[in-house]
Amino acid sequence: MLGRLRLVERSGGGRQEAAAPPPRPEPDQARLERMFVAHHAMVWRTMRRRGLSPDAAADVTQQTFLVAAERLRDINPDSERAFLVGTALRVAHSLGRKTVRWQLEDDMDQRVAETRCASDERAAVQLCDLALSKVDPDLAEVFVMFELEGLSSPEIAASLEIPLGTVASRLRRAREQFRVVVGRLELTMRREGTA
Amino acid sequence: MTPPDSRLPTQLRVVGATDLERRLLDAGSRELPSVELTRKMQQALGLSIAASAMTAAAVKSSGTAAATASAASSAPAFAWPAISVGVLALAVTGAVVGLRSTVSHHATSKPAVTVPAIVLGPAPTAPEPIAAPSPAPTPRAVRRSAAVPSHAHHHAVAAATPSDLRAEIALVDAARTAVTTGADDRALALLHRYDTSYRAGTFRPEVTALRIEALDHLGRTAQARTLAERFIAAHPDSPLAERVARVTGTTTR
Repeated sequence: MLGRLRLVERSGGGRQEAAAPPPRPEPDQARLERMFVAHHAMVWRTMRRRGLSPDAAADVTQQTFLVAAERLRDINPDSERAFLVGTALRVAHSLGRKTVRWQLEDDMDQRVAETRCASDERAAVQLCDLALSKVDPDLAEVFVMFELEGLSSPEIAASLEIPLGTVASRLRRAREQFRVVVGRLELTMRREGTA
Repeated sequence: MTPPDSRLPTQLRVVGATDLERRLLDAGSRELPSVELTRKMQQALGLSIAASAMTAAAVKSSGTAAATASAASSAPAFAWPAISVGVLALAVTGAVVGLRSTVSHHATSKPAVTVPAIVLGPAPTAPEPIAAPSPAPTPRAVRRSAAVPSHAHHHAVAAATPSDLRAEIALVDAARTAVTTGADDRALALLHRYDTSYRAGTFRPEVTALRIEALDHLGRTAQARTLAERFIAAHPDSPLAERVARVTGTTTR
C-alpha cells in the first residue's frame, strides 16, 4: 500500500482540480484527505436521508472512504462525488433495509406531535426524513441527490448507473410523491397547531 | 437516444416550493455529522485533518451557508459499545478485560448499532503487486504520532483517556474490516498508523495478530510466520496465539 503511495507520488497520479489546483501532482493520501473534507458530510447526509441513524450513517461513510482509498486511481477527479455517493448507496444496500425506513404510517402524527418539543431545526430534519421515507426508495435517492445535495444529472446517472432520462423521470415522480406527503404533513400540523 | 426530459429542472427550493417544503429541504441539506463522529471517521481512516479545515468545508458542503451547529450537536455520540464488543471478541486478554469496564462506563445508553459484515461492490481490478517489503512511516503518520500523547507503559490502561481508547478501537476496527474485506494493503497501512500513534497501545497484540493475517493473505508468508512465532513466544496463553498459529500453520507450544 505504502509502496503504491510512493509510486504514485513519483509518477504523478494526481490530477489538477479546477477549484483548488495543487502546485504539484496530488499524492493519494492528500487526495483522500481532500475528498474527505469536501464530501464526507454529503455522503453522511445522503445516508441520513435514507433513514440511517447518525452512527450508522457514519459507519457507511467510513466504509465508503475505505473503498475510495483502495480505488483512488480508478476515480476520475470529475466523478468523485458520484463515486462516493454510488459506493455509499451500495454499502447501505448491503446493510439491508430494516434500519432504513420509517415503518409505520402512524409515524407521521407522532412526529408532528414531537415537533412541539424539539428544536425547529431538528424537527424539520425529522419531518424531512419522514416525508422522504414515504417516497419510493429508488425515487428518493435521486430526489436527495438533486434537491438536497445539488448533484448534476450526469453525476446522478453515473452514481446510480442509470440513463439520464431515468434520472429525470425518477426526479419528477419523486417530487410528486414528496409534495403530496408534505401537503399531508402541513394539514396535520395545522390541525395540531404546530404549523 | 436521450429523452426530451433528460435535463433536470431547477431545484424545487429555488422555484416553486411551499414554505414547508423549503424548510424541510433546507433542514435536510444542512445537517452535519457531530464533531465526535467526524473525528472518529477520520481516525478510522487514518486521516489527520485540521479541525478548522473540517468546519469550513462542512459548512461549504451543506445545502446552504447558514448551517447551524444545532443539528450537528443533536447527533448522539457514537455507539461505542458495539465497537468495543467487536474488538473484545477478537481479544480476550487480561488488559482488555480491564479496559472493558472503562469503555462501558463512558458508553452512551443508546442501543448499540451493530455493523454487519459489508460486502462491497465488485472489485474492478486484480490486487496490485506489493512493491514495498514492509510498511514505511508516512510523514503524516509521524506527525500524528507526535501529537498523540504516548502512554508510558502497556499496562497503564487506566491512564488512557476514553477518547484515546475510542480512537484506538476505531483504528483496530477499521483494520479488521479491511482484513475481512480483502483490503489487506490498507489494513497494513492502518496497523502501521496504529503502531506509530500508540506506541504503548492497549491493542498491540490484536494489531500484531491482524498484521500476521494481512501479511498471510498477501502471500508474505515468511514475514507472517516470523511474526507469528514471535507472537506465540511472547503471548503463549493468549487466545490470539491459537488463531495466529492456525492462520500461519505455526504450532503453539
